[in-house]
Amino acid sequence: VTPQPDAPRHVVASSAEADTVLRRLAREGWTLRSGFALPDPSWDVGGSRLILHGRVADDDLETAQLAVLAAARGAGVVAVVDAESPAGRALVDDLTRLGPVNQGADGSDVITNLIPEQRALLDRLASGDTIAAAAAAEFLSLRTANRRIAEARQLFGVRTTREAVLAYLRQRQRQPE
Amino acid sequence: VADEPELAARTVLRQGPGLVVLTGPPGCGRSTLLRKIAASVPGPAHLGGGLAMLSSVPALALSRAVRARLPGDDVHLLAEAVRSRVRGGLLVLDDVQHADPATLAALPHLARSCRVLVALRTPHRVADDELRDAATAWLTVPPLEPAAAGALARSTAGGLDDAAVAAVLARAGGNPLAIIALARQAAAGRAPVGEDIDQVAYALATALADLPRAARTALAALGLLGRPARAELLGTGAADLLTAGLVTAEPGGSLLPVSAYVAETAAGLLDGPARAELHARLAELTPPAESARHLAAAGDVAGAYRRALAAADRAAGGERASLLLFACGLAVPADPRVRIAAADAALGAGRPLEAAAVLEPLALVPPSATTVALEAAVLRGEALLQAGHAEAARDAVRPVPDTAAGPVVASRDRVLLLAALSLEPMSALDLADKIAASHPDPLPGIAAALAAVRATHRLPGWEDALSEAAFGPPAPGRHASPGSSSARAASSSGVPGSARVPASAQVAGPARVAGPGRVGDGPDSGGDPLVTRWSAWLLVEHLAADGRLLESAHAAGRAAVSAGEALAYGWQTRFLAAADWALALHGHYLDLPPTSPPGSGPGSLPGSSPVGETDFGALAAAGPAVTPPGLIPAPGAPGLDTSGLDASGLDASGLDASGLHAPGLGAPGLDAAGSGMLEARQSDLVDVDWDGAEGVLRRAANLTDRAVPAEALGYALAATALIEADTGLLAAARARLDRARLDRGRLDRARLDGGRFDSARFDSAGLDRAGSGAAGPGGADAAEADRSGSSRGGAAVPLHPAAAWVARETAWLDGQPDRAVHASGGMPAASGHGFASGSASSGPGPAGSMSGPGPAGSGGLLAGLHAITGQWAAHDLGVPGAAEIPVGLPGAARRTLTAWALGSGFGAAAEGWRPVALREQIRCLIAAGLTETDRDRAVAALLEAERLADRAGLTVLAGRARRGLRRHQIHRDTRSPRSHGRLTQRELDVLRLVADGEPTRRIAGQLGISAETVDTHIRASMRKLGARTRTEAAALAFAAPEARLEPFQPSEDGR
Repeated sequence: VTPQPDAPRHVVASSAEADTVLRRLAREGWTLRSGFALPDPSWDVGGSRLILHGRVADDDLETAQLAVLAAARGAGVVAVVDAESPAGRALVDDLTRLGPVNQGADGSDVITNLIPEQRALLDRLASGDTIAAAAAAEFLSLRTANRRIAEARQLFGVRTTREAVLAYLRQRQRQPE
Repeated sequence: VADEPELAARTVLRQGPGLVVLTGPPGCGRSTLLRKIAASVPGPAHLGGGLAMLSSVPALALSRAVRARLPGDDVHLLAEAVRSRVRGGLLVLDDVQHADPATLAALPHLARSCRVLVALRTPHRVADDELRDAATAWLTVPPLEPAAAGALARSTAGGLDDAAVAAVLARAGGNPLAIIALARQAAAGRAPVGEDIDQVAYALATALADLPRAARTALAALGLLGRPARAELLGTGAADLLTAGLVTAEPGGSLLPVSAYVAETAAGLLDGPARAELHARLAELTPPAESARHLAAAGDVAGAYRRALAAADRAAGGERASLLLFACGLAVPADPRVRIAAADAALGAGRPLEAAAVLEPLALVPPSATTVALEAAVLRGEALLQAGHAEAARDAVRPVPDTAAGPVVASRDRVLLLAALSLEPMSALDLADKIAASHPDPLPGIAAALAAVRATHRLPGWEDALSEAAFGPPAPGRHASPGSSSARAASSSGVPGSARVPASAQVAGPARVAGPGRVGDGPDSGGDPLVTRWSAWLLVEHLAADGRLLESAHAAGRAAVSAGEALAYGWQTRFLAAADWALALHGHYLDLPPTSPPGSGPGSLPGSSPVGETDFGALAAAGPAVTPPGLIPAPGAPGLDTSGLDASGLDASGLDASGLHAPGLGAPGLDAAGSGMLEARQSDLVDVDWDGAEGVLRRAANLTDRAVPAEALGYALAATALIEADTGLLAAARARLDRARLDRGRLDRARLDGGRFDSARFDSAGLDRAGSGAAGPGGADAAEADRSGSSRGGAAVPLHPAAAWVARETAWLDGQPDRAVHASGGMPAASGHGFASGSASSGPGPAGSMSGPGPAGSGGLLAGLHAITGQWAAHDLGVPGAAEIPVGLPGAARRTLTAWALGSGFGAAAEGWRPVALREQIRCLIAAGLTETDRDRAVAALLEAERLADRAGLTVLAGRARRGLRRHQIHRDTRSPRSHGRLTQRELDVLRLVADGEPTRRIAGQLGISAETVDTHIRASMRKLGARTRTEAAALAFAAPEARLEPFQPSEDGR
């Protein structure tokens, strides 16, 4: 329906989290721009792979409106806001109307919270590598690999690595990225 | 889902230009349906819609759809600009309630030349007249059907059990948004899942803000009431709610919120004073019992107190107890008489701790020994005794002088005697003689206490004495007490239960009418229900301790019926759970699907000759246990036939009259448990037979998280976990037991907090649920509190004695003999358990020699089972088992332990178990097979064990028998036909468990095969799938898009 791939929408609680998200998005080829105002002449900016980011104060509904408008016009947004504040609630409410919203480190969508290293490890485990082999292939120490996998287990809320791998595969299947 | 509007919309949109409006309340699934229709209608779809914060940006909703800037100031230009872009496509606008005026004005124009599909939420503030005029079709999205709602909850959170799903659905109603949010929240117990629920509450709140004020108040009132209500009660707003699709009309004319959760949210939106005011108004309009709670919530405690007393006068059973306890718990000085009445009712309802607590302020101080105080003292003694605090009970009644009134002295003597029985069983005999002498014509209470002493010491005829105290003297023409030998003869000869009907069936109707208080005593007794129920409980536990499980179940079932008739649900659940436990252990009526032994086809049993089909038949004819199901002595519901049921006052009208069906009334947990239980029993009563494993599991699910006596929970837990463990669901059994340890810790703490557990429960989960959810997220915080409670209560608490044995047995079945070799939790295998009162008795007779109606069952049989499990664990570990045999065991257990000590005689022991417990019979046969030196006889025993276990569905024991058989080179040929590279059913079974993270050992236990076979299956499937690791194999089988789930030739696979 939409010609371009959907632009990402992130609502995070702190600048540090925003930086993590932005760094990853920059690596993936998005253009970052500070502030939510969108002066571009064309209404639809979906083709320009643009990410607007900034902070929304608790009662700052104007900024929240700008962010929503930018998102509606096809830009990606990364907003630093207290999700329980009035502006945060309203922002998330409207952004959700546009499509999925990634919220901080939680949300049922565990997969987006996995760091690339973890995804790579889980992918390798799913395709039959041992943890040691996967760690070596990803240039990680066994200790680090185990720690990453333990974090993934925790995120998925499962006891065993095998369950984590399967949960990862199932989620990835449900929402191909 | 929602087939009708979908079809209608598609039909309209196929025909050419037109406007289809989908409308419905918040969270009803409009957007989902919108997308579904858009995807199924030919032509490109242009998706747009309003945004709440941008509802004043001209033409924004349309700009989103056509991805272009649009002229917002001229409607005709705007419509033309959109039309030129949409052309033959489909224009789809969501959230039109947030659309800007320009978009709204353009829609009628567009509808003339384009196909337009929009969604509009109700309530909304949009002037929709023009839209209505222009609409080709105006469709309302209906609430989800229950089946679809259940499916949605399950697909949202796969791990939820039936009880949790039911709870979610009860609260969410047919509202998909609420279902998803609440199901996620329910599943979040395992991993933190963020605060979707708050965002959902926000979305609902913004929607509800568009309602007119009167309608908002009406919805809030529904939320506070927690039940359907008549439109008159809700005022003028009711009509708006109906229009908005937020409530539906019940057949009777009452209005019912489509989603209770939405109504709660509406109530939560009120601020404190407004809520108090609404409560006050509801209090004027509701019946007294409900009104009292509303008054309390509105802050008028004195009024609430008076209203609760008035309501209690008209209620009976558990309902009356709840009301009186509620009144005494209010912050007003309660009349001592009221306290006594509350304690009396609480005792009658099986809530002794609360009874004792409510009397605490009346503690006896010698100079002020008024009649009331004396009465309170003996009643408190009785309550403490029943709660298992024998010493405290003795202290409570000691100050009562001999000069007090006759009945008071009798009650005192009864408490003293039973306390002594619990604390010093031997001295109780002397005391009993003395008391018998001083009461030549004993009141029922004294008689029951004397019977208890006889029972504890197993003096001849104890069953009859106790049974008489419990059920009254045996009526002529009826078979004697369930404990007596004649009853046993009756059951073994298969006399239908209806032969005993009359006495127990006729009661309830008149009893219910008889008035408050000690209403509806046991049918057969005419005595004090406290005494009769308590005696019945003793009888049940003593019989179980002696291994007379069927009789125990029978007595429990009978007592449950009479407790149910008197609306004493606490006692009823307790008796039902005890009956379930006895029958689960007995094992002959579990009705589990038989497991077929691997390769049971002809010719695959090389050594099967010693035990042939004829043996099977012979076995079926012997013993009371194997009477055909239709003729068994109705253990679940003794002697009630359908006509008796009709007379028994279980009918709905009777319930409504007593106000029991209004969920907002009493402690809601209890009410729900009560009526749920009632429904469950009602169906069971018609069906004379016990409902087997399925019924046990269902009842256990009903009990979870309800305020029921710990005894009931303990027995229900033991029965459920035993069934799960025996059928191979070892992880489930283990999880259940672990959870119970934590819960028990929590429960105990809550009880210690002043013994007002139930009223606390009411406050947080009941009427005021909406109030506590006021902050926004509905009743979310009750669940939250539960969860934090369970994580806080990290310390493991000893389980109920029956559950403690099941925990140990589960460890053994699970292939962890090291965890089963010693009784855990500081529970000495041979003695009691210190569960109720100080009962680590070293006295004679079974360790169940204590008074409180708790513990008797913990002694004999359980001590024997503990010892037997210990022997098995030691055997598996290859270490010598404990040499000593506990005293006072039932015959079968004693013979088994003797056989363990001697290394022979298991055959006879197995015979001894046959009428007692099937699984123990099987275990003895396996033991015989393992210890027997003669190969033929060993094989015969093992084959019989295998057959019995397979037939009864006891997978794990069947696996043990097969393991024994392999030692004698008897192998089952389990090979399927050549599968040519595809997975067999068995390999899939194994892989599924691998994917669930189960270790090999547990997979073996679950499927009743050896760990080596499990490994073989896994290796074979890895080879077939080309997987290098187990994880990869599981991933390929279950997570790959092209999952190869079709097993090879399922029909010929032998399973």
